[in-house]
Amino acid sequence: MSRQKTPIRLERIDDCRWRLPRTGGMRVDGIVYSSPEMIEDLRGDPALEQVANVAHLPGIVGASLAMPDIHWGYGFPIGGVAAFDADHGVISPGGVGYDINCGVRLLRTNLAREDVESRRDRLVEDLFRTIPTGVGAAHRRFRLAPKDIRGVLAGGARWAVERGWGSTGDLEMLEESGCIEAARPELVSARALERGRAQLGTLGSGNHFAEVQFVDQVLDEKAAAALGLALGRVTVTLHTGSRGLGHQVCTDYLKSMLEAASRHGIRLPDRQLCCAPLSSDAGRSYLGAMSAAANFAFGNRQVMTELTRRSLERVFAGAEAHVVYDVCHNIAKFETFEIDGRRRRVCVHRKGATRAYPPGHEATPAPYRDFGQPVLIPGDMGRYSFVLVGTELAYRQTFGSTCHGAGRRLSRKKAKQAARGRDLLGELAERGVAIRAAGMGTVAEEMPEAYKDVAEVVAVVAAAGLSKIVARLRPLAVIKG
Amino acid sequence: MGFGWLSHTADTGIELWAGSLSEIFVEAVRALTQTVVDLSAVEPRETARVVCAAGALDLLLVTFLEELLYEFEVRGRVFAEADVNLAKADGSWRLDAILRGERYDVQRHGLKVPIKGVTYHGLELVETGAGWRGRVVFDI
Repeated sequence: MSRQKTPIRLERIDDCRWRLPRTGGMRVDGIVYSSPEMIEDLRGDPALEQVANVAHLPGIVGASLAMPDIHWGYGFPIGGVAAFDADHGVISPGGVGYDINCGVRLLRTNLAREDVESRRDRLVEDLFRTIPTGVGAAHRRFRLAPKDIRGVLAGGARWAVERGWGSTGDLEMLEESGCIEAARPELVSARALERGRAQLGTLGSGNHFAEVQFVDQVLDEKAAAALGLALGRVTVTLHTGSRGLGHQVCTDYLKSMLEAASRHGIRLPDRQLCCAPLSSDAGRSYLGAMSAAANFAFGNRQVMTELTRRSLERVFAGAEAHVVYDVCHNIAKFETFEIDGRRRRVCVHRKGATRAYPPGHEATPAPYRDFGQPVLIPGDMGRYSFVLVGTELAYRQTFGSTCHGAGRRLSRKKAKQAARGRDLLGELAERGVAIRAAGMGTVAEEMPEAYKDVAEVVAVVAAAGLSKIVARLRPLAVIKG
Repeated sequence: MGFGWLSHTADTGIELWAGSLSEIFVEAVRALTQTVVDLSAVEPRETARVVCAAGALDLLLVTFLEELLYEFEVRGRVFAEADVNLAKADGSWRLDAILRGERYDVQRHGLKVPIKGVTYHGLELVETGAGWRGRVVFDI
């Protein structure tokens, strides 16, 4: 396990930022976004050592950054953001993680809260039967042929829409329009393809979910109106990624990157940070395979969107669901920023962090351009989630990045202990939330008190100026793995 | 010989100890099974063979656990026992294992924690005064 050798020094920059000054082999400082209360919990946490470890990697630009939902990960901390120079920098699977392009999609419906409340049990049952959940969840009748799976890896959400899973209008509302062009499907192993072929349109397990919610607070009326988020309006959040296919791509390339790092003489403070120069064959291969897996995740969320629409239509005649936005929170990709007065293309790694582009950015869909790119921050299943928009400050300070979620407060084991003897389904029902899950173990591990209050995390990114809060969503019904 | 858990916020690490190196790999089978399902419910009805290789012993442990995960997720097999043979040749370690277990049945074996990957974070496989000790962290 990671053990702290020397205590990490933290210098307060202002009320929202703390610096880990460059020492030893660090090439840049670390900067953590937090609050005076939250930073106290972080002192002595191995996650801070991981921020410092990332700062050791060649070609890192600016600083090794951490968002307020930072916690102990593998390689990068969860909540870590780092950008690398296109010519002299590296790419690392440890900066993306196993669940490549795990992300969140938000749909807004034409339903009101009362509509769902009157038929909540039927809806949750229908969703649970429509979207496969759990480990190794697979569609019995929907297995992709090899040429189709290569099509998803190359085309992402577009591939799905071309086959009737949604409309072209959906694609405009997705980060990268739901397809990363750098994808090279031929670099994805046979084993990864085998793991993915029956998993398109499946939720998976762990912290993944599909949740029916309603808008319970509007904090920025104009932005909320542009996003179609009126008070009481029903929304659906989908949280999932590239499933077994992505896990296998990460597994495969960690091995080749360990070799590449040693070949290129890169000193690694943690082997999970293995990496290769972006300009090397090994680096380009990982970028191509990882981007292909990211496209699988976009395709997955696209198919699941259409499954959700069908389920809503079965339960509510005339129900419609439009895509508000779709964000990646485990990804590395090339993006362009103004750095020290010139435009530079850098490879941004976001490991448990969300892109948050400012108003006016060309990558933001036209209806939202005056307000900033939508940012979707799920909370726990009992409390609430948030919709934010990106800012100019995030663009300048954090490579256009912000937080991604609440972060665990209790370990899975402690959560299960805390759940023993309790009627969690009954407790959630009292809060007005119906739940269906593949296993009760997951419900215990994922119960509300296992997570930090996402409102605290969101308050920090708002105070730091990395995002603006637009609306709060409260859960009505949840399906989980 | 035996296994236990390492403390991580996500409770994902396993610790293995044994008198011999090959027993470490047998414990790895039991620890992985107990992480994902109920080990005591797995009966040795069928056998499967896993062969893998790596440049170093600790990397071999990761590769072996990855093979076991693949057997679980793709082939639907869980294992309770193993015979493990290790050999070193040309600077590389090779493992040849016969695993005993059965087809996964969620009703009987349950499901605890799904594992996304076997990490290199804090990975250890070392000889101690009393034998061998291994540590591996899973991403879940």
